[in-house]
Amino acid sequence: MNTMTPSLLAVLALPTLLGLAGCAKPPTSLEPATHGKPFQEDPTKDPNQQAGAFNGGEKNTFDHFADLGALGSRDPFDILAQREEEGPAEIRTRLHSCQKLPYETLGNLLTSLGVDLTATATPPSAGQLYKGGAGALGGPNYDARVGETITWSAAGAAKLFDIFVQAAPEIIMNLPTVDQCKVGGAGPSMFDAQNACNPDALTCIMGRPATQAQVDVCSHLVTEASDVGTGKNLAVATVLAATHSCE
Amino acid sequence: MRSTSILLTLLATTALGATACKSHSPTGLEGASSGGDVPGGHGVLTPIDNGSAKFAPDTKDALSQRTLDFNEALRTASLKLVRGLPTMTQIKHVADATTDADKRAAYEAELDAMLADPRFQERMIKWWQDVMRLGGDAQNGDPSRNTAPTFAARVVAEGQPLSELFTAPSNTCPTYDMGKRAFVDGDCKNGAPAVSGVLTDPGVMFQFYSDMAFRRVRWLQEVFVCTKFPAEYAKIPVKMGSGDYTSPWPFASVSTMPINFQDTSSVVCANCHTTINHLAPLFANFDQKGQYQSSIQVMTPVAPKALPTQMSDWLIAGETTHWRDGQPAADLVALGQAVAADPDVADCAVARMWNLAMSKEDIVSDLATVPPTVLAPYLADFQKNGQDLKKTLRAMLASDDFVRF
Repeated sequence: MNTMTPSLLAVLALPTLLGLAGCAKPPTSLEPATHGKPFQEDPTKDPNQQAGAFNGGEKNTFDHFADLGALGSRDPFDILAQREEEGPAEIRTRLHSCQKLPYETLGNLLTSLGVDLTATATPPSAGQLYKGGAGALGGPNYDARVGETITWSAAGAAKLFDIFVQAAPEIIMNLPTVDQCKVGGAGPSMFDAQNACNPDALTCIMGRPATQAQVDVCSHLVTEASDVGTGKNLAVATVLAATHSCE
Repeated sequence: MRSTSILLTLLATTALGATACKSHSPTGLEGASSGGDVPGGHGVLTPIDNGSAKFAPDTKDALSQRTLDFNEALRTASLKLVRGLPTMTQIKHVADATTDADKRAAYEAELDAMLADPRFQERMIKWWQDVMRLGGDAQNGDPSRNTAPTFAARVVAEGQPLSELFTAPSNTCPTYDMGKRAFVDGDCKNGAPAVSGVLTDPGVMFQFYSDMAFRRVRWLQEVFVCTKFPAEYAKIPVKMGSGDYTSPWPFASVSTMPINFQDTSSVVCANCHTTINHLAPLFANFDQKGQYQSSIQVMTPVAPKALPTQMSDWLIAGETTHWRDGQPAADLVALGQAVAADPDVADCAVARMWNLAMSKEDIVSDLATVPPTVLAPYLADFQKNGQDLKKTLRAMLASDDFVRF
């Protein structure tokens, strides 16, 4: 599973290359999602699955499915390593973890910010990426008795960021008119006449009050791209990616 | 996963620049070696050496470094309860309050509004679908797999006691009208002689059909008790074959033919199957479509061809169905009563709610268990409020732990 590390680092490289400084100590390893076995059964078509699949014999015992779902269970040593890193249960369970946005929640979020999920384009629109990305984004697979995943995979995080990049122009265009951001019947524009980020707009797309430092970073991003239009798109996409990586 | 989460969190804090180095960072778990403000305390603990990353397990700082942030709480609560960001009006309602007390009041007012929002009903349906691993409309003669999650969501959203999940005698297959954003009454009509909450749901019986009805038993155990088998332990284990026999049941209560559940050559099968085999016959009359029939509908997996299961395949003569040792359950109605009265089931439901609130993984598959010291106040609240999970969830979302980041 360590082979997924470069992918995740590549995803993380984007904001890094944009010149954003970090101050947190980097973790020592990457532990991607481990639910990796391919799905092989469909109980909606054949609940019995293969005849005799669980039969015992003289040289074997009965095959017990390792998980209630069809995709197998997590390696308990992987879980143990994770728990050791997280610290004692009495502490870690009282701290918020980073859960991915559920698939439908992501759709609601995009729609509320003015993204048309039915729009089509070349390259694919945000809506097309979203609708075609349920698997990568960790959506449920109830036929396999598997609920929605709680955590991101590297592919899922990359897909999320792709969607935000494609959604940015629509959000910039539609933000002043969406109900989500209106106060007293008026909504904010994403940028002012000097191409600086509007604090109210930033607050709305983040879902919490933007600090001056966040506004400054956003505005700085606009100036760092090859042109202002690209810079605005990158600024919005980066803010969305950074804010909504965790529910 | 944890590292991925951490990196994504670092991405967020790094890119925005303003809130970096706060409570989400793994560095918050380093350094402290004494003290601790967790109820119950834990005495002297040994630091854990995790390669190059070292931290002490007694991490007072990790909790004390958190800061109060009602707007961040509003954002994550909104995403969890109504599956959308808070509106600007909501954000400003909290942000514009001047004191912490005023901010808390504004936050809790928004919390109550979200819990009363129809979108919360829909969120609960989805949450129960994920918890139950069950969803999908009726099609091609297969039953709907939405009815059990919808029923459970209704129990929560309407503030009914959790016990209804296992004991409700009717109206256990409701549907949800997305146009009216309301639950619609419905009975399951799958021929069960008596209805007992989700225990007689056709979608559940269909989804978890398997040899000897073992998967249905496992679903009940893992979804509502939050642990895998074995589920029962004797006070004193007994050396048996290659291992220890740990179940409180008489070892010889389970069958030996055609499957030898008393086998001890590799593992002690009876550690789990004494419990499982006393439960499985209760679910055996539901066929592959989840319809109740007058005879056993599951198969015993013997070579070369599976055979219809007989009672003697599970238990020796004279043994009867039970929820646990000493708790007989002659039918699914009796089973429902026993399950509803089991304190482990209440613990499980409250722990699952806590994990929802704090963004934790699955309590069974990912072993995201919650210590009793953390759950205790919410369990007390749950029992005091009439087993109303919605009220307990509200208490969690208003707790000091939830509003600190």
